[in-house]
Amino acid sequence: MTNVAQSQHATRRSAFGGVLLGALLVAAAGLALVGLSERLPPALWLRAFWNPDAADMRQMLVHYSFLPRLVVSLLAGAALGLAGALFQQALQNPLAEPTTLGVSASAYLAVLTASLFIPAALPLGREIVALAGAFVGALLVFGLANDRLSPLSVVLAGLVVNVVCGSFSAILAIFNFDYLTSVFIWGSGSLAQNDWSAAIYLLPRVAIAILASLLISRPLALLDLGDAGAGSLGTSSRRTRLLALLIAVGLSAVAVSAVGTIGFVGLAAPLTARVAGGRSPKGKLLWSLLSGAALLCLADQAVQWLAGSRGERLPTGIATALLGAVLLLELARRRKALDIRQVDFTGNARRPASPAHLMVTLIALAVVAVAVALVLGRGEGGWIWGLGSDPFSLRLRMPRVAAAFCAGAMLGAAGLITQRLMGNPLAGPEVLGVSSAAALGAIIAAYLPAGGSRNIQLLCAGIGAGLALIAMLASARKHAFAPERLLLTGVALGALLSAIVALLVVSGDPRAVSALSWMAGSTYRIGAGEAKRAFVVALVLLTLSPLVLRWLELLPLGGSTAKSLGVSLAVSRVSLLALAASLAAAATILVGPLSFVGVMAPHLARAMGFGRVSSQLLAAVLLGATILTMADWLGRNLLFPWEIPAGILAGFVAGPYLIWLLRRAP
Amino acid sequence: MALDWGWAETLIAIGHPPIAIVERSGYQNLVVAPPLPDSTLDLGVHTEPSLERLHRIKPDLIVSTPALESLRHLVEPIAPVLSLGIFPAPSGALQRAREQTLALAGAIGIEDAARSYLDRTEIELARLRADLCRKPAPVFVVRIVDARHAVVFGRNSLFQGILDALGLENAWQASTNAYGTQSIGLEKLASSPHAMLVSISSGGAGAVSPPDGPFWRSLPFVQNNRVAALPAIWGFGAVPSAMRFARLLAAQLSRCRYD
Repeated sequence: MTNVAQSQHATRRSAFGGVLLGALLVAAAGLALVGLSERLPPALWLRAFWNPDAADMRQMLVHYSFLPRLVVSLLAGAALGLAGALFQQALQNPLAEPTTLGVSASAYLAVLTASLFIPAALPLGREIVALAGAFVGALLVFGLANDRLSPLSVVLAGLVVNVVCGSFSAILAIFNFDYLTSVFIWGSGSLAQNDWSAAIYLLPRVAIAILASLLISRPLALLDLGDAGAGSLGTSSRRTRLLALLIAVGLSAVAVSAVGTIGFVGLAAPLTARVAGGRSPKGKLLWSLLSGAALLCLADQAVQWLAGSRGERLPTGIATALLGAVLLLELARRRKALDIRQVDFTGNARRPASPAHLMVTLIALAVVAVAVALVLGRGEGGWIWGLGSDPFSLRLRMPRVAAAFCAGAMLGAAGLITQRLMGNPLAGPEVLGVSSAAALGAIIAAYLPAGGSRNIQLLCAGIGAGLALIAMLASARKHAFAPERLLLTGVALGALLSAIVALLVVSGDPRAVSALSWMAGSTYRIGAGEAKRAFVVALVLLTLSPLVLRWLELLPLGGSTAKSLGVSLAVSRVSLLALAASLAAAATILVGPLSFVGVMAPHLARAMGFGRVSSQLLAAVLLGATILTMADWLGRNLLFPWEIPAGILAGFVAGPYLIWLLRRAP
Repeated sequence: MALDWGWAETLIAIGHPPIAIVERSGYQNLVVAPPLPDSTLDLGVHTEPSLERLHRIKPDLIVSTPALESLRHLVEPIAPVLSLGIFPAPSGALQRAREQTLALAGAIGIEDAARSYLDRTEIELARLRADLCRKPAPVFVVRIVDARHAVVFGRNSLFQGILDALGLENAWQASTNAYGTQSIGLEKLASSPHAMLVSISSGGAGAVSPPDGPFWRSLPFVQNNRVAALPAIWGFGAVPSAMRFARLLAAQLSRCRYD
């Protein structure tokens, strides 16, 4: 009976997936044919394919631009789709994709650095630089994840590498905005071609990776059983995982080096494949590969079709992010197709010798951080103590320090609540989508005719966050709240945001750099009145947090356990969600959508040994506040008069600490 | 003091250099001329100029642009803010730059100097136009960014006013962003069979070697040997940058190599 129902379900799913994939392929092929016939009469196609007439510009365009671009989109899409499937299978986390392991981020940083400091190296090939960067990043991740290679440690190590590389890249981009047009275009994932070199580069590498991944598909599928289960069937799950990750890193590095950062294909393709019902070990990988190729090809053809003969150029990487976001939202609706493994948050804490002493130390640290940030600063002749002698400096610094402190505290709390609620250690407050919506609002404000004064910016950010919060709560009520659904929605919104930011940056519009620095988490624009309001909001929201401690304690034990202990799932989840989202929104409006602090502070609190939820929460709040305050102070003074946004420095401060933590963990 | 390179170069050109400017080294690499006085202080990144330094140097006036409006509440307590914008300029960025130059000069009481500077540029443009050989081909004005992409300057860019003044036609008639530019794949430059290519260097760390390959060599302007390479010129500046473009372009075109 159950079997029949299951197989019926599977058939239905497979039919839907087949139709979906078929539709993607047909649409892509149709658009490609339309594009081709617009460029050249069909009678000349064969000639243009094989032996174009150099005097006929149309044939040259088809041969050297249209066709290689088509082939590159298929190859790169297949590579990213397969890489995503391998990552997700190896790490047992549906949020894992080429960006998760720091591959894209480290490749981007390598290209950025090379083009700024050793431009002589670039003629050797951006491909080589990007490839080297990607592999160094992956090596770092594997090194940090130690010899255990458990999914959690790999994902966390990837997060650290992402944060550190992302911080470096952001600061280089903000300080050298006008030199980096080429890197921005590459980074936005442009598939424009004018020879066959990228296609020839991709073909053998992708082919080898496909063969290799098919060879390990069977042991890879056993990872679904968990480490112990796979081990009992005679496979070394660690070796399988390492092999799969190596192939996936190679694939994404090759794709990134050829066409830049193409967002979302690695995430969306395996999801499509899962809905399509590729259940056999090989089937899963092949369906992902096909979905990836179809997705990227369709996106790229659509981009070219939209541009038409006009010059408007939407980079393909941004189009995939937009397309993928829509697809992801649809898949989130069919959430049966998903299965996110919850992570245990109750264990792993090493009890500190004396929690009380440690907490007092944290409080003292926070106080010292605030004091230093207020009175010490660099000037023309070296360091200046700002107290008394220069009241104006103090007046300049006060709002920023207050904002950094409040935002850090709120992010710490929001992060802890989100991670416990979602049961996912990658779930920083930004996955709630509220931060992204607020950021989108603020960015739209910068482009309003009014010129985007600070107040309009704040208003738009507030409206964005409010709308997202209302939508989220409404959907949570309607669909009986599911963490994975929210998670996917949040990730989709986040991707939408970064796609739009990338679009602004690549458009060459000088206003984009303002968006960049706000996104990087700067306290620069905060005035005194705003700082006071921030303080009140933070105080109110943080005072509410102790009320939810019991829910935070019980919910990670699983829905049924919590229920049996008398917790109303709907009420508790919606309340927690509303609180975390409000905290995140308030912090985002203050300092932009910087997420490092929100992700890191709860991890640090746990790692320090605060086992009980109440002390974890307090520690996360203190740590978040201290980290962001110190980051803001460092950012103002390190390169004086050049200011580094606090969010970037928070990455520098928190990243290495987390590395140390990962290495030390038992 | 100036929060924008365009107004910094204008202030220097009309004989009243700013005491401090944002991103000093960037100005030297990308704007290049007119040169900054050695005494000009650096205020750091232009989206977040150092308020503490700004406060200590006590400027009489802060010249900004509408794009930096979100800084106003921070810098206004330090000194009066004059916000002048050129872009977006549907009626012509060069014309708008001239008007705003007068507004800027008026605010610091040197309107006569500005007027005579602008008159001199008009005379110079007329002379440059007279020196050109016969009417040359339409031009693509681009900054090549890598082997596959370029940034092209369109109708509402600062350079359009110079092309008009020199009697040249812009070969890029498609849409652009608010600042008159668009990043494109190089294949988009194949559309115009008679055009010539004016390639502006990216300057500093952004400079790249020119593209090559069978497709590049088949492009009409490469086949006809109509490619003029210019050094770095700031495309989002004001009158001085536009004039720098005019001089460098005319110097190439007056040799009649491209007809």
